[in-house]
Amino acid sequence: MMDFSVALLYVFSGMAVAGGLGLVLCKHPIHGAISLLFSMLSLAGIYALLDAHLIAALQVIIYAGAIMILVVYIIMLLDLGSADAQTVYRKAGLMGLPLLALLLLLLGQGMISVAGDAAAPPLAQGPVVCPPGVACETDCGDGVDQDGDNMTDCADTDCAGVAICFGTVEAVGANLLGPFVLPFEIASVLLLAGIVGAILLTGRKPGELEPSVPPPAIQPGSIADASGSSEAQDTEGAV
Amino acid sequence: MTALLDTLEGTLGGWGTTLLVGFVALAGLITVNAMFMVWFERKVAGWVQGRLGPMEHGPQGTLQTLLDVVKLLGKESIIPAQVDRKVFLLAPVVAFLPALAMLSLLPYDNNLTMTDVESGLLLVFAFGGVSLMGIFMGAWSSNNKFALLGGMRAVSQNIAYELPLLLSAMAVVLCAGSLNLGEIVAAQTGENGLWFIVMQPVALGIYLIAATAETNRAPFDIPEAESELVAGFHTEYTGMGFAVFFLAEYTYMFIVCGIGATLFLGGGDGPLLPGPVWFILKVYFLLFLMVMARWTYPRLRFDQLMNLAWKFLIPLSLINLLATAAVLKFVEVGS
Amino acid sequence: MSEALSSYLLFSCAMFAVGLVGVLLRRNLVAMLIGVELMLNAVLINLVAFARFTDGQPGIGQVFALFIIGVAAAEAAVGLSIVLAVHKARGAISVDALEELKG
Repeated sequence: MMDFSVALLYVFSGMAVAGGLGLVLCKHPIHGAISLLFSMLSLAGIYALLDAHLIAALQVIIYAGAIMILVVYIIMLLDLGSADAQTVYRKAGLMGLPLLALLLLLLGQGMISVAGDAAAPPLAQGPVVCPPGVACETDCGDGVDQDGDNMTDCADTDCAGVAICFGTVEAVGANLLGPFVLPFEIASVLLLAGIVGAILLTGRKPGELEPSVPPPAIQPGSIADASGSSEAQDTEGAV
Repeated sequence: MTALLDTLEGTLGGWGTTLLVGFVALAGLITVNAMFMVWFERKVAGWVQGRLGPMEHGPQGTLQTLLDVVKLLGKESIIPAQVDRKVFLLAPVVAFLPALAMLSLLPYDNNLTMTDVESGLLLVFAFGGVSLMGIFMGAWSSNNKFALLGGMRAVSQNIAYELPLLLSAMAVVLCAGSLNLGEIVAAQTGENGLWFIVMQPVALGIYLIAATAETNRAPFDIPEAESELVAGFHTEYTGMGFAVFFLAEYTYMFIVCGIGATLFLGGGDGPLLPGPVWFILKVYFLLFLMVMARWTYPRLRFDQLMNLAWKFLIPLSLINLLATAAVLKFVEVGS
Repeated sequence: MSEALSSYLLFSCAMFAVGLVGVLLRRNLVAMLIGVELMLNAVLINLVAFARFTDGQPGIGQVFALFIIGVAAAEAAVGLSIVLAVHKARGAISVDALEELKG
């Protein structure tokens, strides 16, 4: 009988790939975005299967909750309609597909030969084995700081691989704010730059009331005529 | 009761039984909560406005909601010709399903959490973001300008108020030292436990305002402002679709108040009465505050709403978070 | 194939391919942007899977995953504002509207 988690892995990966294909195949960007929402949620499930619970929660918050909402909001704000197949796909891109297939073949072959089909190793249960001559946190569940570095249990990076600590907020945070504190600060600067850039690109200049370039006038019904299918476009006069 | 559970366990196995029992319990909670809240809200409205509220059916009109539900279910589900059918039908489901997951994460008592995960608080907020997508899908697929405007408003409002909501909750997380909802309750109970309402009154205020806005309730109900937008994002929904959106809204109110009770009021902590009873009492006290806010304050204008979030609540919650961290560090160094 | 490292790697390969096909084939800038997000997610799966399956430094893969999520958020914000700016200037967001630099 198949293991429950293996079955979940197949379900989640199937859903994720199907959601991604939805993005490629759906003509209307909103349909693509919605199918991608399911893709993102199943990816969160995959991270949970890999015991990375914090990453799973953040995946839902940031990808499904923030990025996808932003994308859909932009699609609605710009009133992007669906286009017919002529304009949806770039013919030139088709030429890249054989190359892509080759690349993936090599990549997949390489990955399988490296990884083999070993099952997931069980997470360490017992005491942490210290490298010779170095003090470290040996017992990760006793609330005592053994190596005297002011970090107890899961908050000590020595414990990151132990079952009770793996993937928890404490263990990931200990690494993030310990050895990786400089990249962490740089990431925050990057996010700040992202905010400033977004405001600069989309905001109005002081004193400017209207967009500098008026958007092209849209004839009533012109968007609805473009496809003729029963897509939901909020054009004036349609309601 | 135990015999029934044993039979179930024999046929379905441990997992199946947990799922089934949990699902039935949650479905019951959702239905009873929505029916009670509608009646309760109308009664409070009547009380605020010096009238009686529903009185016709049952003692004090208690059966009124039941009859409303029957009426709603008997109505025809109309799918307008211009809508995007698939998205239109999927939207109420996407809006409602996260509520089920969130309810299962709430700590009803010390040992009564259906899904006890390490970072439960994060997950609750995560699913809250997903439910927004349901509102968005409903608004867009309706092919109706009122619905679309309501959807756009809902999204900008929810994104703006999610920040103070999370930041005020994080102040509590700092005090409790855990993201697990059960451990947050445990940090407030016991020997020298103190409800976080004492340590974090500012965070409680921010949380309640942001939670009211997150659930699109008056005075922040501009996504469905009936005098401007007919009914906002659910203008085109009838019958079952409308009922599901409606149910989702009342369930989210219960959830945000449940999280509020967990974070600030000690969850199931209290004398004499058993834990779940205390929890429910606290939740309905917070819900009463939300209902009172609806009937006492006028609706905010859109720019006022945005200014309140970005220029007041977010800076205030950041300062609160920083001050909490600083005080905790000084206490730690001092001891 | 069981629940082995290679199944996660193959899955991530598939996700990467889907994202790349999205970027290559679609003309819509928003769709291309989501394609990039999919590719980033494929990398994320690899990192988290390696963090779980190898026992050298188990915390580090997840920290890198967090950084990728942060970068993806910044990328989405800036990318979408570029889309907005393009729409403001051209009235369309198809890549066909942006070919002045074509030689």
